[in-house]
Amino acid sequence: MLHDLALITPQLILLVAALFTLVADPFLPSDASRRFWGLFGAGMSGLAVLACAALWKFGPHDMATPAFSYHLSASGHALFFTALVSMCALVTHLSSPAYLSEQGAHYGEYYALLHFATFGMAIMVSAESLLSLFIGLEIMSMAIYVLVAFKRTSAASVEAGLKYFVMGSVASAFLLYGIAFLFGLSGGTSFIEIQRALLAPKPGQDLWLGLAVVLTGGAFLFKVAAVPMHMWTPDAYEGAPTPITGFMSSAVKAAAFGSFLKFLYAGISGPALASLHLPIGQVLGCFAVLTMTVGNILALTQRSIKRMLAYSAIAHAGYLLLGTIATIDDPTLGSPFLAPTGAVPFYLVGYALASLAGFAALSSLGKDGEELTTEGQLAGLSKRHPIAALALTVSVLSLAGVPPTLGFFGKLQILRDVLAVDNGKYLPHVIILVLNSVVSAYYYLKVPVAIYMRPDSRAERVYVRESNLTWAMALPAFALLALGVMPGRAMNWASRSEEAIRAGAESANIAHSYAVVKGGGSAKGVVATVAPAKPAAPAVP
Amino acid sequence: MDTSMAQNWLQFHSLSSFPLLTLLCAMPLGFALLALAIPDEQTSAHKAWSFVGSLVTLGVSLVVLAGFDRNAVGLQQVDDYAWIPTFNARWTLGVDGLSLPLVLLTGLLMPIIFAGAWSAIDKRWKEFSIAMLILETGMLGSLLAVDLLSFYVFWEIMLVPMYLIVGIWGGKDRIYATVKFFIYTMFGSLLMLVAILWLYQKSGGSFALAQLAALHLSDKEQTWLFAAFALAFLIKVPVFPFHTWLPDAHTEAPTPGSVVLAGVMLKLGTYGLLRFAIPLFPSAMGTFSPLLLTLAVIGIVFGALMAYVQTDVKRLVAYSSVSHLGFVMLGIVIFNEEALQGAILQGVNHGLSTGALFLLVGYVYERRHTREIAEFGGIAAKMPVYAAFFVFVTMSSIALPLTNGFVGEFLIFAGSFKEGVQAVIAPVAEAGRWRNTVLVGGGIASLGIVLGAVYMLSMVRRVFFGQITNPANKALRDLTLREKTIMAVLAVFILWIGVYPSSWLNLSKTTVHAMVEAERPAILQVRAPLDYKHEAIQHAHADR
Repeated sequence: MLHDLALITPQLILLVAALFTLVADPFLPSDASRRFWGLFGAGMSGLAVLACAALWKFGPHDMATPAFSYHLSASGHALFFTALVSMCALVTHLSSPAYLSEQGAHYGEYYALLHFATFGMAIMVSAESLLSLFIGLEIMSMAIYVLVAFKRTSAASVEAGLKYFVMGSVASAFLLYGIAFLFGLSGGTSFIEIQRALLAPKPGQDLWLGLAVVLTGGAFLFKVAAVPMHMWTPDAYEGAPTPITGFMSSAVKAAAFGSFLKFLYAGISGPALASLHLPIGQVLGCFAVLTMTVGNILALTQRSIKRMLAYSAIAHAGYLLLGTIATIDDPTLGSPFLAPTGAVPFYLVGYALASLAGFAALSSLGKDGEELTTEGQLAGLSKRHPIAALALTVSVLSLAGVPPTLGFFGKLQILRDVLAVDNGKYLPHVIILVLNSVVSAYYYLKVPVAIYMRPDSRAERVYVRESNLTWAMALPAFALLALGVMPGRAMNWASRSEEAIRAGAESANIAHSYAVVKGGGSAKGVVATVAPAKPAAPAVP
Repeated sequence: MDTSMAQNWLQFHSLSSFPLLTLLCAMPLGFALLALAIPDEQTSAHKAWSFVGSLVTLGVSLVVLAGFDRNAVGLQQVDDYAWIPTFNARWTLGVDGLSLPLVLLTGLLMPIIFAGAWSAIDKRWKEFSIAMLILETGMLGSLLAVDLLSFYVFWEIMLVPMYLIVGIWGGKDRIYATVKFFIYTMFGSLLMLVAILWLYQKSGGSFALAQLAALHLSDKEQTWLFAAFALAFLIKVPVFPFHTWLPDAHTEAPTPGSVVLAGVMLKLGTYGLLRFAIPLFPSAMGTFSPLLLTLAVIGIVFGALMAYVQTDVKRLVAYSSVSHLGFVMLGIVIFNEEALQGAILQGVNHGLSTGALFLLVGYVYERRHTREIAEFGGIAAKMPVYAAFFVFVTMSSIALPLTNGFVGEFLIFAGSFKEGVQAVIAPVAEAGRWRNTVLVGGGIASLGIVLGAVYMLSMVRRVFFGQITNPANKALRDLTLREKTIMAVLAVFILWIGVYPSSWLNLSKTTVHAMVEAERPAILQVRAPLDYKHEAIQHAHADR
């Protein structure tokens, strides 16, 4: 038990922070004193990151073995993503107090909810069973729904929260329904049990398996805001308090993709799925292309930078979906096994940092309940708040994928890995991605144009200057450049994260049994590359 | 064909014990970072600091020159370090006869640009000097990098500072011009990125140029990959019909921006073709030769005609760039020793003379705030020194003998006619088509020289001579000492190359020889198969 608890130290830290904030908030009545919660939250999130790092470096060898009766683990994948979402929470805690008190919505619950959301994400990405995944997802979603509507007096904010809540609930229902089918097929909810069950296909299961894949897959596509399940994104992003928009586009996206990868790789992949001949790669490819194209084209016409970034978040979901193909389109479908490179986790780091820097900079614009986020209102920012101007510029350049920012290497890695699948099977997708980047450059460039090139037209314009907020935009922007020059280290972490999912799948002995089930021919190649499998997993209780 | 022998011009000749080239690249960036510490208001400190920074960089490039072995084949003073292990991407910088002239040109032009900007740039000097210095790092890096990923990174790094320079300090339509420039260039280079990644996959995970050039690719692959690379470079040059961003960007850019754009950045397009596109895909180059030749010739004539009808002096100079770069492209497409030597030298020449022209146009713009030809007339009487310099640079631009332009264009034409004239001496049925194309193209291109004289001289006549009709011109001051010094430096180089070109040609002689030996057979094999056999026989005789 103690061993199990040690593995979820980061999650426990976040939970304690949330509960402590709720209990102690009444003792900090004034607006100014609540600023303490920002620092406290940043500190606790930082502590969670450190705990992840400590486990990553010094943790026990059997960390990847599912703990808590096959519900949670501290695999490299879980630690990487927990650290990532905690890092996002850290920056969001820093950027929130100034914004909230400026907007007249500064309450202690905000910080507690932020901790709960982060805690939910940390559970979600560490999940080894569909049940814990779902619980994590719901903890996260509930907290985020409320956070989106946190500006109680703003109609836009409340509407956004409601919309997100209704649509999100439908998606959760789909996910749960799909989980029910998988449970029915396998008699269990843990990934290992599902894998085992799929290894021994029962007659007539194809229909139910297919239904389960479609339902769960659809729910995940909703969470990552893939077209055509993207409708909630622009309204939710625009209506939410700006730091929360940043948190959603960084942490929520990271958690959604983290669990999606785990689910695709460890949850539903396997010979039974292969026997369905579901062209998962092609289907994801179609969604990816559709998502990036629609996102970019709709972003072109936006006047509000916040809404534009919301559409660009959809486009990035498209790039990431394409990246997932490189991760999943091999072991079950018999194409050559790549060394895990962690393209998607790595891309998420760059994307999260860019979103955090950008939205933190946007948080500093506006005063007294008003937000200044249209293109025209950014004019002259370079003179009034040079740091916000620079952070926002670095952020959009990274989103556009211009070297030497981290965003460039993220895109580069996705392009490389997708191109490597089956000797360029996805070359058309890659070219579409590249053309999309050109389109996106057009609207991203509006930001530096407004900031640096348009004359400052209005005499009176106000910006919030507060040191924590300034750090919240400066640190991610600096990281984008620093990691953009030397991306090697972050790439290693990301590839270790991906290795962990693969190792998890191996320990369930999929590859080995797959070869046995299918036998001969193409499967031999898979065995040859995957064969150095770890010792078989402990028996399922 | 033994590829390892044939492409030894891409191998490392000498590794350097001290990372001199890295230092050269990093020098401007270092000065830019330190400039962050100088407060915004201290404009003169920024002016001095950036000038010193570019001078120090020039100094380092002279050290590179001093250590350069003119007779060695292959890349010299190579810095080769692991950069991103996950990608097997390396930090590889090297210099040879192809890049050295352009490195020196960059080093030389930057101090001139900074000195010229003292009056041309009137706001935000801090941002300006930082952008310019980062741009210099990008240009030097693109010229020195021989690992495709680091090359690509440098290539893209150039984009953002230039975008800011045009967008912040440019003219009335600067935002339109700069966004157009950015999107055009990015479009080209992203497709090149896909091609680079394709090569990376093919090679089993390497970005090293020499290794990729030794790959065996199918004809179809070569064609598509060459197209992707060439598109990026042709947009940068720019070759007709990809040139439409250039007149806008040039006209709207502030004087220093125009100078650096014309002086160095356009040449990176032609450099990229020679360094990357041709050695990677020589036989595709053979396939595309007739098309590229046609585009180059169209560019020469079209640029000249467009220049003739311009009413804005700066736009005229911008279109003349399209025409001049057409000559450089012609030399590259011909791909024999004379033409290549001419193309490389003409790249430098164009940087000097067009850079000088943009500076001169900038001088008068600072005084009158207009560049319309009709606004001037007879100003030679008021600005004799200015007029003298302008006429001198015009002579260089229209390739008068004893100026640099003559040497370059002469070599290009010598190469073209050598390639084509054998069609008349020894007509070969099959090979005839390529040679005839060269002959006809070369003939039309030589018209471009005449047209060059027409548009430049008629502009000079209308601006400088005759009576002063516009009263605003009566009060014009002549050049200041600073402006004269800048022009004098450029004039010295224009004359130096014109009178004694060998000192420059010798820099690239060995490299060009090795390059032609390595790449020409494969090109010729495709575009003129019988010539290829003929040359092979001649070589065999010569070897004996």
